[in-house]
Amino acid sequence: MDELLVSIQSVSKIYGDHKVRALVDINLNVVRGEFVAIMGRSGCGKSTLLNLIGGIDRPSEGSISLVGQKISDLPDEKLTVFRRSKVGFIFQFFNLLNTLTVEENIALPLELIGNEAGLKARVKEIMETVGIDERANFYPAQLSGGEMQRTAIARALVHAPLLVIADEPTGNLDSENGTAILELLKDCCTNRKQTIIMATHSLEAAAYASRIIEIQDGHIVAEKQQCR
Amino acid sequence: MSVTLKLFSSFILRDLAKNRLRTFLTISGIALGVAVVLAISLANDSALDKFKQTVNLISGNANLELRPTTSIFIDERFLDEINWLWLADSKFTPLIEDNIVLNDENNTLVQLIGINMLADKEFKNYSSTSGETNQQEEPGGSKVVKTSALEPDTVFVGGRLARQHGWHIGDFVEVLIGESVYRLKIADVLSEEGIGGAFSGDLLVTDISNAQKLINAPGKITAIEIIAPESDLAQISEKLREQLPPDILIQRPEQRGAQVEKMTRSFEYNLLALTFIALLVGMFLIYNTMTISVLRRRPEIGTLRALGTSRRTIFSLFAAEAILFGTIGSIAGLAVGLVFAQGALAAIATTFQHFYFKQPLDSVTYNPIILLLAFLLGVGATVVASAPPAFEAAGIQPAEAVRRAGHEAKVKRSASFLAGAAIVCLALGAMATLAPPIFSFPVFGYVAAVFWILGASMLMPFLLDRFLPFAAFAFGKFSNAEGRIAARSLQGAIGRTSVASASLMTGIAMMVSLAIMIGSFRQTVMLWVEQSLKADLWIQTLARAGGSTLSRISPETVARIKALPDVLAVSTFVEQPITYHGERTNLAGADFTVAANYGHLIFTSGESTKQVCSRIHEDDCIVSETFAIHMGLKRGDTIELPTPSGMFKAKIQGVYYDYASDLGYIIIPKPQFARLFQDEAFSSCAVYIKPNIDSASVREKILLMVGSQSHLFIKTTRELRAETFRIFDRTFSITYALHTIAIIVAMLAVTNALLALTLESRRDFGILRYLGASASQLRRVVLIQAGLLGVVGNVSGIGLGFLLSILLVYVINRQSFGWTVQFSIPYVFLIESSILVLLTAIFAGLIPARLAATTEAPSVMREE
Ligand SMILES: Nc1ncnc2c1ncn2[C@@H]1O[C@H](COP(=O)(O)OP(=O)(O)O)[C@@H](O)[C@H]1O
Ligand SMILES: [Mg+2]
Repeated sequence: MDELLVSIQSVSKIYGDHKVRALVDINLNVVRGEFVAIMGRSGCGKSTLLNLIGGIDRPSEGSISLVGQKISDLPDEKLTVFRRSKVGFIFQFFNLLNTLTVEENIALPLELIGNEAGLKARVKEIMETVGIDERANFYPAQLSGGEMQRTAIARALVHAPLLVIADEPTGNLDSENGTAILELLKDCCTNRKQTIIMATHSLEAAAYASRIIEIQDGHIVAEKQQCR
Repeated sequence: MSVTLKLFSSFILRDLAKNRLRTFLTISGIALGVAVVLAISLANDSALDKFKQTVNLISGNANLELRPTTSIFIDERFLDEINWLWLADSKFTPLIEDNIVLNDENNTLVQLIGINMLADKEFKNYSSTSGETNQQEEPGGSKVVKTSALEPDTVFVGGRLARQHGWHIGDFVEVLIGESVYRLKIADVLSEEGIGGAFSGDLLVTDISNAQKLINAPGKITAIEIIAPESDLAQISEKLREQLPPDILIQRPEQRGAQVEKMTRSFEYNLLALTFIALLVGMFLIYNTMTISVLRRRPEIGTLRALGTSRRTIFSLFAAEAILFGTIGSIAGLAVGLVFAQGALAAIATTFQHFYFKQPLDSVTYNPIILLLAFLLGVGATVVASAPPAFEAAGIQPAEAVRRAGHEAKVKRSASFLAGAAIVCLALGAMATLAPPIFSFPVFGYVAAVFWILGASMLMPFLLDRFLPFAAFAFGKFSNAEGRIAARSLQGAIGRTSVASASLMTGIAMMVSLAIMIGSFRQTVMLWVEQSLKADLWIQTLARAGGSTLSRISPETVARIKALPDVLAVSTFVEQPITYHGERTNLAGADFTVAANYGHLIFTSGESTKQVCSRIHEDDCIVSETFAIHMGLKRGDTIELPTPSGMFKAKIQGVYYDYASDLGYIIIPKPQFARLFQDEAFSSCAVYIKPNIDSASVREKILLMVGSQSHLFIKTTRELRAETFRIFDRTFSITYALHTIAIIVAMLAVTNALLALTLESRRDFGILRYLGASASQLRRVVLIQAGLLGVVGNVSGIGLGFLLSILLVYVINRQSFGWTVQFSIPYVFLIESSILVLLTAIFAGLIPARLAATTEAPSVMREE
């Protein structure tokens, strides 16, 4: 049977003093190898949800499990160690470290985990996979948007996480580069059995997913399985 | 205009408020710099001001005075010889000024003023607490002076002195004169008005004839004060000049203030120059903060530009920020400086009193001009330090805004260019060290210091660009991810890292150079003391030990000591302060025959004491190094001294090292001294004891022999050495204080730099959180960065500190004081301070580290 990777139960998120209800009573299960697209307008709560799933933020109510481990009440240090080998993040604005080269950016997750064995080879391999190997010694400021995002994807995949979280990864790219990125993500799913959860507001992007979840004002309002 | 104002409040003020801690540290830097400069200036100014006040109070309305240059006294008979002054519508009166030591527990030194109690009130105003005054005029115009101090052995005492000792009218004061004790009856207590306010009220006033008895100088006075019509002053001076011997100086009383100013100038200005280094580090802090804030806000500035804000507006925004920093920092600096000033005055007071003039210095005069200057200096320094970043901000192109890394790339590219400029600066500095002093002040020495600090700072990007990759590599070898990240992100932000390291370097360099200078000085003095103080016992009167420089031991006492069976030889010494070519120095008489056999002076020529002393005849002299350097004299030159017995010429036979006073010494043969000044007595003598006899026991014998009538103060060589170091440390106490300030400023620099870097790296920390960095890993990254900055700052600071100390020792100190100081490195101190700096750096990293560790990844990324 399919392995349950993410399990979200009655999760709500309220922000700060202004009592912004970003997410309300969310229930969602994701199994291993799925490509889930989360759709909705800007401000509906997509990023909030992804941060909760990735263990970057904590829900105000409810619980979240990752690979069977309830992460919502793990202490911070443990949570970090737990998530860092299992989750990879990709962002709309790439979020590369400007002071590091492409290669160094990509190597970071492995270094943080302390996984030095075969680091060089692994980084080289992933750079070839995403097609950025020729830019290995460039700084982010010297790259095009597509190249930056490829670097970011390589960085998210380098430690072979079970779950890749992508927050509007094509939001800042032209359609050609966008397509290439989406193909890369889809490949992760099909060939490596990695799970993708991607936030987007573009229908074309969502078309690559195996399941689409729509959020409005912090509520899941629709869910659609797609055949691929 | 209102747009600029609005932008200033939203764009600048809000940012300052948001980064409160950083703003506080930046302002503290400037405040500390201003505080130190102000404190030292006020202390110096207060000391001189007090001195001038006293000069004014004592000289009263006199507009001309006659003083001896080379001797101490003027013969009373001149009073008769200048009687013609009455015909020229002028008046004159004699004066005696000396210091005298009380026979109390501490042997307190007080001033003794002898005046003509019957003199015209125009000369000396005084009033006493009992209402006695010389200002009362009886009906009919005839003056009746009820001066009880006319009676023998009675004195008026100053208000302060009376208060401190609890004295009242009719009490007795015991004073030490020569080897003896005298009892004086208090006729009255003076109020602060008139002469009673001189020396802050720490004085004894009596009639001339009483004073002559007290200083054991019958028929002698120390000055004649004249009130002459202003219009005839030049003419009268000229006539006096023709009539009087050359060793009598004819001058306006104010000139004495100017002389003292000249005498203390080296000490003062060098102290002041050191404080400017503190201000310089403060400037680095400002430059650091402003540059980093401009870099961080590049995108925003670019956006403002894109929205149509003019370059000029951007520039004025940052200029206004600078003025704000400068104003607040300087005001805070004034407040702190006023507090520091009291401490600074206390620290320099002993030095002034010991070396330059006796005057109680216990309250600071708050000269408003100095306050204003310090304030303007603070604001000015801030504005200058902020100018480069403000221009940088104004130069940001709207399009360039998005690419923040552009600037760092530029710094990286220009590293080699900067290194080239650095070499030029260092070379210019080296050239400046060769230039001679201007008016005895090492202007070019300080120019060299500034060049070297600038040069070393400009070398920083180049050095870091080589060191940091190495550090990253080293951390990689030990598979330390945090270390590698720390080193790499410092490397990536090389512009900011350079500024931070440079400010740390400057702070540490100041600390190190001061430490080396003090250490070298101490070492030199120690060697000198060990080599030259070879006698077994050192004898002077108790009065002289208490500070009464002119107190003498009688020739009879010295003869009796010489005759003791345990005594091998006695080397005698007599000295008096003189004025030579308008500068204060000391003239001494010594027994060169004894010195040749027993003395251990160290001569610059390398000759032995015996060699030099045995060629000294009656018209020869030796001079101390400080005197030779100040006057530009060398062996073989001849000096001319006006004396009461006419002009005396002496050929310099040798220049010897001496660290006792920066005023210097001229030493002539004692018989010659005795003849020239009719002074057969001695200031001090050094006793050489026969072998295998305990010096303490000989001291007992001497004291027993002279009896309780003779108040001698005898030190063993060990005690004298200890005393020398006590004086040394007291003289340098202000330098030690500045040294502490340097450490504080260096700490501020580290904290400020790290805080700025950490704030700047918030987004990076957010990303690292997403990538799986734990809070403790981020904390470690910052602490390692702190450590790296600490190491870089310390190593480069020690390097620059060495350069600066060479400058201090060989150029600045030599040009302003004329001392040859052997360079010596206080290794222990350097190791200790390195550890301290490293710990400080890491400690300073704690707050930024906490900041990094508590980064809320999602929200910082939203902000950016
Ligand atoms: N740190 C925060 N503090 C306060 N409100 C927040 C914060 N983060 C997000 N929000 C609010 O929560 C809502 C959801 O935000 P987000 O998840 O970023 O939406 P999306 O990613 O779908 O555009 C928005 O209304 C946003 O303003
Ligand atoms: Mg979003």
